[in-house]
Amino acid sequence: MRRKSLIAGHPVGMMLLLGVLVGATILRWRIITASAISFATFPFAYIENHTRTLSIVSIDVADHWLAAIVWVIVIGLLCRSLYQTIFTAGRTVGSSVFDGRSKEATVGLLFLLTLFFGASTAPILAPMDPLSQGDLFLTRMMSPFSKLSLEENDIPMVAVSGSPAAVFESAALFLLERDSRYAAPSLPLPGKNVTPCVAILGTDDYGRDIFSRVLYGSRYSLDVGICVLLLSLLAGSLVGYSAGYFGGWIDVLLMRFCDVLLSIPSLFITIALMAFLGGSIPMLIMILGITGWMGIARIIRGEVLHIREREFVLAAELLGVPSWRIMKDHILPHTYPVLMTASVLQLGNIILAEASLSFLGLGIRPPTPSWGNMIGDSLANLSTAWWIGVFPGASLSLLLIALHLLSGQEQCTAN
Amino acid sequence: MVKIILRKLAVALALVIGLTTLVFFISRLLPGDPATLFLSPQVPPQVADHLREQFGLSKPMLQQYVSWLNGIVRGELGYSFSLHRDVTSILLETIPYTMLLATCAVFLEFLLAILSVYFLFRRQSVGLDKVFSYCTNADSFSFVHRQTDLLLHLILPVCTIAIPGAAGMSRFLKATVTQISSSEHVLFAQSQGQSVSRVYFCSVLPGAMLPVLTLGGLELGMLLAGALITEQIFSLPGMGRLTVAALFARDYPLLIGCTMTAGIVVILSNMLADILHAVIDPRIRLNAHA
Repeated sequence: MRRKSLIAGHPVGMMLLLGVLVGATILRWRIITASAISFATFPFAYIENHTRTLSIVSIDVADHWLAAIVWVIVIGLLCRSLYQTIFTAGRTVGSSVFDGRSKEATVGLLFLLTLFFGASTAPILAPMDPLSQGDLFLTRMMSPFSKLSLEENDIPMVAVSGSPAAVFESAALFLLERDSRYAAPSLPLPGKNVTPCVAILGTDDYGRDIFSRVLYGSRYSLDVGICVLLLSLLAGSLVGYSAGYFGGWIDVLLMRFCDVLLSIPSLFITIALMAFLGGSIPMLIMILGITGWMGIARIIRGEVLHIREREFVLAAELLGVPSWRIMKDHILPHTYPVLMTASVLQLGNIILAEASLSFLGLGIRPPTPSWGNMIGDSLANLSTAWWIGVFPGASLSLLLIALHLLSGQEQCTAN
Repeated sequence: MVKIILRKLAVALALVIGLTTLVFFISRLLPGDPATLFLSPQVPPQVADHLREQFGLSKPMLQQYVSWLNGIVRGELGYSFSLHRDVTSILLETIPYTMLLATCAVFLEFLLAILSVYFLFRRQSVGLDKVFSYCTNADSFSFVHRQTDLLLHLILPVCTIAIPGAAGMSRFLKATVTQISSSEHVLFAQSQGQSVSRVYFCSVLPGAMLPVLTLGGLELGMLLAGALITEQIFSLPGMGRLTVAALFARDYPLLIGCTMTAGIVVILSNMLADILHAVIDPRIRLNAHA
């Protein structure tokens, strides 16, 4: 029984997804969003008030624009390869995986892309600053769909509806300053009326808008998830490939080491490490990376051993191809599909682990919104205000389901 | 048979030694020792040295390790700072709750998995299969469950832990059942006109359960990690809650005790699952002799 999924079967799609992941990790969401906004609004702003606009532009903004363009191109390429995979099914070799099941994978992928989109454009989509509390007497624990009337200094809203010059100005200022907490649109804009906005998902016990917090929380989940995934992929594939390649006592040693690490319930060891090392987000990433690579290593090793027995490897050996070339040209490419499936699943595990840690108060610390700590905070008021915890919980569940669908896991149960 | 058990015991022992070594070095190599943790900076350094002497921290690392291992063999895990009691006695008090939770959850998991696959087996229609596979994907429903079910009682923690586990397990069981249901003895049983449930429970299940049993051993580790959160939500006085409490009190001996107990329980349960597997499945016994 082989593992198949939409992404895994399509090498271009796989490489692009990896590219997006790496790009997103390195460049960071809010810088990208702000640069895209400032880049897009520049011509309009220039027409409206050119001296003022030019005075803001500097080389700093330009390099962000470059990053934004790269980002847009990568997304475009991903969409293109997706489009090809979906609509040219059966016509190309790469999309031969497009059988009955992959409808589910498409649903999963679409949800994931929506979430990525929501996370990267959170400053625009979020109706409020995730940290602003407003007047606690008025805004505390309001049920979903209730109206929030805010005081003047609490309205980060509006954003895109302002004049191009103003939007450009705030976006560019954000890029230049870099230290402001959230992206440009949350800066108050001059000459805009205060509008009451609706808290779609209600507010929590500090009067913060849950919808905005869920949106911003998705950034941290994805951010931590992807960084940890890259880290554990690195460690796991290093150990797995070398165990499978060298065999012998190296294999035994490495796999026994994996067994020891796997025998400790990973959440316990993560908690112990968090307690000893203290918890900042980079530390969280490091620790989850350290505790998360064993599964991937085992899967890769198993796959390498499995492929080694196949006829084409035997044939290459008989032809006298050196073993490192067999590894590089014949074995490595065949492990990619499995590696891809495993890493999508691993991403789900990591996100759940991060949520669990944040839930316990160890991962991402309270004022910063994260799904885990929102669920943890909701426990105190669970009987009176269900919406505080249910929405982050539901979005976490949806994300994990989407990842499972994407990985096409039900096809690979046997191994 | 004896040979297999001895071999499994040896592997488990090696794993336990590896685990203790790992936990020891994690706790010792990381910054901060008890002397600096508990004394204020104003205290003269002689006092700190004296304290280190008392804790045995001034000896060489290897000697410390040996004496620590010695303590563990005798069941002494140290002294909890926050609860002012022996770690071993605290653990002995809390473990039964967690074990009760975990055992109930494992049984419920097996039950749910067997039953759900039974319904699949009875009616092998595509539609049901689809619905089922969606359900099993929802590993994470537990988070929502954890939210809404707080007010109800003891059965809910068990369900919270067991339902996601059962989903994974039944997925696995489904694969093995599919594999076995095409073998000759099942076809023979069907051709005799035995009822579907008789075929399932007497012919298919015994063979299909074997790999699942091993999975059940692995599942316990997941359950303990799950208990960490579930006990927190449902306020159960078990080991998970103790771990979190120890963590927030910076009570390192207790924390290390909890981590190590959890690890040892998992290793032992894996070993038991392996031995049980060998006892039930004659093929493994025969392979070992050959």
